Amino acid sequence: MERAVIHSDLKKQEIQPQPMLDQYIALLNEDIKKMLPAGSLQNVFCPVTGEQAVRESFRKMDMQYKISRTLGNIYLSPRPAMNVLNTFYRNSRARKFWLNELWSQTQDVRQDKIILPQLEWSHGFISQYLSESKLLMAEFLPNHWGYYQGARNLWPEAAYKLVEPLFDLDISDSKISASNIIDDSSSSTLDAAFLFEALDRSPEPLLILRKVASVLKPGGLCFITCLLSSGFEVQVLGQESEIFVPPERMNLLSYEGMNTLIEKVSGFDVLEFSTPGVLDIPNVIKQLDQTKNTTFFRYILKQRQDAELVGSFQDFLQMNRLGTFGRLVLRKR
Amino acid sequence: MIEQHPDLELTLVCERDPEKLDGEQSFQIVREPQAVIDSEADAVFICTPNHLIPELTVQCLTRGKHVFCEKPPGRTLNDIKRICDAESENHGIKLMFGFNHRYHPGVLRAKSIVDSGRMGKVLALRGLYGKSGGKNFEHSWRNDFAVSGGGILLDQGIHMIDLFNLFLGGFTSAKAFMSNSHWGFEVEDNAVAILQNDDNQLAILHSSATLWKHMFQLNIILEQGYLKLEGLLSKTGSYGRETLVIGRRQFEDEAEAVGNPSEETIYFDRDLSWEIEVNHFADCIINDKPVLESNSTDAYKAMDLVHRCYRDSGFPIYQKEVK
Repeated sequence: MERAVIHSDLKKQEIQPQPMLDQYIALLNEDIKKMLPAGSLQNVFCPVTGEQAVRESFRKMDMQYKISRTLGNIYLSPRPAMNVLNTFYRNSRARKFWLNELWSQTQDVRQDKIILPQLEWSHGFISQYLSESKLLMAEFLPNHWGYYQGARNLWPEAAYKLVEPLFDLDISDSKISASNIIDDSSSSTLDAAFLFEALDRSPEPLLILRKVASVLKPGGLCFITCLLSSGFEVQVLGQESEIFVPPERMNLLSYEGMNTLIEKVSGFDVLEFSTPGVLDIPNVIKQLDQTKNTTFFRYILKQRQDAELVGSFQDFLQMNRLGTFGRLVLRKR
Repeated sequence: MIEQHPDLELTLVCERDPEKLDGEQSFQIVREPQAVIDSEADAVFICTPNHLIPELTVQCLTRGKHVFCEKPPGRTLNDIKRICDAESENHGIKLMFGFNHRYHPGVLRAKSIVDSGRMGKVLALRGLYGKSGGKNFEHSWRNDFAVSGGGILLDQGIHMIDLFNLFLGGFTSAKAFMSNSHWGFEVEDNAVAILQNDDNQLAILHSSATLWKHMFQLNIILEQGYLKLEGLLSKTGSYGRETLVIGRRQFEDEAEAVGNPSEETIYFDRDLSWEIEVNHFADCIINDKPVLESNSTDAYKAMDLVHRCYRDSGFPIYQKEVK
C-alpha cells in the first residue's frame, strides 16, 4: 500500500478568509437551530462498527459529537437522516452563502491548490489501472460543482455523473444539466468513483461504500478523501479543533476506523492510504496557543524557530499516516 | 511466481547443483538443459548465464515451447538476432524478456504521468544504476567476458537502457566511456553513456559496479515539471525504499527559486513487477495474444544500444567479436 508525502504552501486563509468564515459559521449556527431541531434527529451508534460504548462526547454548534471507544471514530449523534439532510443542504442560508459568496471569492485558489491536484492524483491511478477510452465516472454526495468542472477538463471524453448531490442545482446557475445527475447506477458499470469527503458527510458511510462496491466494475477505482480523527489536529487540539463543523462533518473516522470500514465492505484492495495534508503553521500555532497541554508542540512549531524541524515534523506526520487529511485509492477485486 | 499463478504448473527445474535446492520439491530436477528441451513443458523460463541464453532460447522456440528469457538476451547483437529469427520462424510461439523494471510501481506511475501529457514532453532523462560490488564480486561469472559478453552495462545497466527506450522510444546517437580502473576486469566496472534521439531528447546513464551501495535513480525532466524515481523495492531492500517525487515547474523568476519547492513524494510498499511480468506472459500464451511489452523488439533495441555504446567507447575488449 503506497503513501504520499506532499510539500505544499496552501494556507487556510486563502480558502477560508476569516471574515467570510465567521459569517458562514454564524449563518450555520442559525440554520442548525431552525432546521435541525432535536425532534428531527436520530441517535446512532458508531457508523463503522455499531459499537455503543463511547470514550466521551462533546457539543459543537448545539450538536453532539461522540467518540467511539474502540476505534476512536468521532461521529455526530443524534444526526439527521438523509432526507432531512437533503432539505437542510437545499435550504440552508449558510450553504447558499458558501456556494455564492465564499466559493466565488476562493474558487481560483481552491481549483489550483485543492481540486486540480486531487483530480490529477486520481488521473495518475486511472491512467495506470484503467484502459477504457470512454470512462464512466461518478462523484458521490458532492456539495459543490468544483470537481465536476475540473473533471470535465481533465477527462473531456468521460461521462461524469453526480450521485445524490447535496446542493441545490438552481444555485449552480445551470452549470450542470439534469442529465448529469443519477440517483442510482446499475451494478458493475462504473470505472471510477469519487468520494471527496463524501464519507464524512454521509449519514450512513458504510452504506455509501457498499453502494460504490456494487456499482464499480471489477478493477474499477474508488478515490476517497476524508478527515481523520487520528490525525494531528484532532489528537492535539481535541474538541477545540475548528474541524468540527456540523452537520457536514458528520463522521471523522480514525485510521483504524477507515481500515475497518473498508474491511467490512469486502472486495476492495487498498492501493494507497496517505495523509498528505500540510499543517498551516501560523493557524496551528494560533490554535495551540488557545489549547492546554500542548507545550511540546508549541516548542516544535513555534519556539524553536527552526524551519527544518517544522518541515521534518510535517514529513513525519505524513510518512506515518498521522495527518488529519486522508486520501485513499481502493480497487475493486 | 510460477507456482502462484493459477494456470501455471512448475514441472521441471534444471540445476547443475541440485543441492542448492533445499527440502522436498514438487517438481522434477534435472541436471542437463537438454532434458528441459526434450520435456513436455509448454513454456520455459531461461535464467542462465548469458552465454547459454541464445542457444537454449532458439532450441526451445524451435521445439514449440514458449520462452520467458531473462535479460540480457545473450552476449552480442548476433545473439538477439538469432533469437528474433527463431521467433519469426515459429509463428504463434510466445517470447518475452525479463525487463521487470518496467513493472516496478514507481516506473508504472511515472510512465502513466508522462503518457498523460500533463507535464508536457520529456526533455531529458538521467539514470544512475549501480552495485556495491560485494565480497565475491570479482569471482562472478558476470565479469568473465567469455561467459557474460560485457560488464556492468550489459549486466545491470541494460535495465536502465530499457527504461530509457520505454520513455523516449530509442536513440539515434550514442557516446560512451567505459572504465575498468577499480576491479581491473576485462569488462567495464563503470560506464557512462550520453544519448540523443531525433527529437533532441537527451539521456545520460551512469552504470557502475563501484558505488559501494546499491543505488537506483532515474530523473525525468519534462516541460512542465520533473519526476524523480529513487530506490527499488526488492526482497532484501538493498536498493532502498522505492519513491517517486513529482514536482511541477513553479516559478519563472530564478530569484524566487526555493530549496524545497512544493513536491509530492510517493512511497511504494509493494513490488508486483515479477507477478505482473509472469501474468502478462501467461496471458499471452493462454489467450494467444501478441507479446506487446518486453518483447523481442524491446530486447533488440536495448541490446543494440548497449553495443553501440560499447563500440563508441573504444574499450578494447568490445572491438573484437565474442567467440
